[in-house]
Amino acid sequence: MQGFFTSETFARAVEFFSFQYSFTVYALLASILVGAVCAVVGAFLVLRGMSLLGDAVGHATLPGVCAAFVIVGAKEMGALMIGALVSAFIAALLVGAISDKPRTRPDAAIGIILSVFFGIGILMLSYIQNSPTAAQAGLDSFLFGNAAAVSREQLYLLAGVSVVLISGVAIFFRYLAVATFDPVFARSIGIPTRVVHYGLLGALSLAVVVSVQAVGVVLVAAMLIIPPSSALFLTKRLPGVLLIGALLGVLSGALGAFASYLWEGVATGPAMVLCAGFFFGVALLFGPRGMFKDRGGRRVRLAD
Amino acid sequence: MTYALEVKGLSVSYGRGPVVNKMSFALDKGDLVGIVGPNGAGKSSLIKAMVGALTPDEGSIRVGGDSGKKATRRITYVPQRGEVDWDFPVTVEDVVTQGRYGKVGLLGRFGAEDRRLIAEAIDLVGIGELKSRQIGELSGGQQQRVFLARALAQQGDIYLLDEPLVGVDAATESAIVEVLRNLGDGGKTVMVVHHDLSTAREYFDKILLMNKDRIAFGPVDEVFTPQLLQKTYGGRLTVLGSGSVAVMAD
Repeated sequence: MQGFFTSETFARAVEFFSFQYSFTVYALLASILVGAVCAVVGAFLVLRGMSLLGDAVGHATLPGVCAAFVIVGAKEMGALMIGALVSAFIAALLVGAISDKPRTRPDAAIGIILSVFFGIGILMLSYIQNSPTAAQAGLDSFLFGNAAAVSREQLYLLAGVSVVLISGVAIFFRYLAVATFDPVFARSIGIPTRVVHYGLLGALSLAVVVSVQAVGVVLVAAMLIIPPSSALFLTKRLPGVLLIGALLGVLSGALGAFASYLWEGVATGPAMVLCAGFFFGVALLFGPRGMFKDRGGRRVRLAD
Repeated sequence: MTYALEVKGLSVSYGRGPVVNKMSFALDKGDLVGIVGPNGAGKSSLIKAMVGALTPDEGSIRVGGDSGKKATRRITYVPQRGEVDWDFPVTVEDVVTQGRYGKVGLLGRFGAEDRRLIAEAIDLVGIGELKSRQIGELSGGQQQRVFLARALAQQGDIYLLDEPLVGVDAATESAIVEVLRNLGDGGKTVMVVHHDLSTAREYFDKILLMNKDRIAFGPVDEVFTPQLLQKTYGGRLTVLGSGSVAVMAD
């Protein structure tokens, strides 16, 4: 194996920061936006114990993307995004529907939907790749993400959706916070908890769909789950979790895009996730609410 | 006659049949009522239905003549400690502040009056020096007081508390009971799901005995008899010589 840090690597680093290629700029901006919007939406998933649902929704976009490609016949971004959104949202609703019925617990429901949808997606992907159309070459980048493949239109869409979702969280912050923390109290003061629930599912689906090009279907859940989880070790208030989570998401995204550019064959998704995971480890061990400062959990005091 | 709180024919079920069956009672202002019954008797479900968190199958709830959403807004709720996520990133002050959300709304600003009520509620329950702590850092008794403070900040007319004295130290127990007494003396109506038969007589003016059905409701001396307790607790209850009873813990 060649050395990681050769002069070639250094040259590429300089190249990246010269911002002379628009695709590197788009890649960096896309990764930053993905990091921010996934962290902000993901914080509420994590706090509601719905992290694995994020994973299911992420994986479930694959059949939608493939179906849209087959129907349209070409890699038309708008169609692919709509396909992804439809299958993501259907998956989210199905998880809810199955968990409601007896004998299937929520975690099994998530596992079932995740694997079935993803399996269908992989089958469709192999079928597409065996067909004679040349345009399918870009489709497998949806698996593990390729931030450099983000087009200007996709970037605009990502920016628009991020602005909408992040503003939405800011505007509805009180409802989201109380409905997540204490649903019974929330309903007692008139907060529509079912609307909040479906609103979050919608936000999740949107965030996932605009992120899969950069991060990939397989690992998009990580960008939803890991930065906010790290933030929980660093702050004791919810606004801080959102801000610090977003910051860590942005850093992980940027570093991931950068690493992906430096080394050939490194997909953006895994690179971002490794960075996010590293930050999580540091926060877990050394954060103010982490293992060493706080023994990582509740200190139950025996006397008042 | 307009009661402070009137429940009529309230039934709540969870799919396997009713956990609360045609419950009816009426409370006056200043009543301090204990709800007593075995586990699974529907006490928590009754409270949650009254607060608007569970949809009843049938029945009505009226608060001073108002019904529907107007009624449930005047009711404040203090949850069981076991149902709270203590790792959630909120401080004591954050939780008590939530008590004002009903009035201030989604985007409203907090006025001087709101801030005063929040600070006052925190002081009334005696956790002033803890207000910037994350709630998981508190002891059991302190945690219980936080949610009581939130209810006080709401300035409601009706207070519903779900087993507030479970696992709290003696000092907190007296502090909470005193706050409840003062609420009653101030004309508020307080209903408490209570877990400890030995103190029920001392703490409450009236008792509601229930086991899915209403067994009895009225002044504590009339209702807290071995016969009626036997009817409520069934086989788990033994009548002792002096007229007192022993109930087997679940």
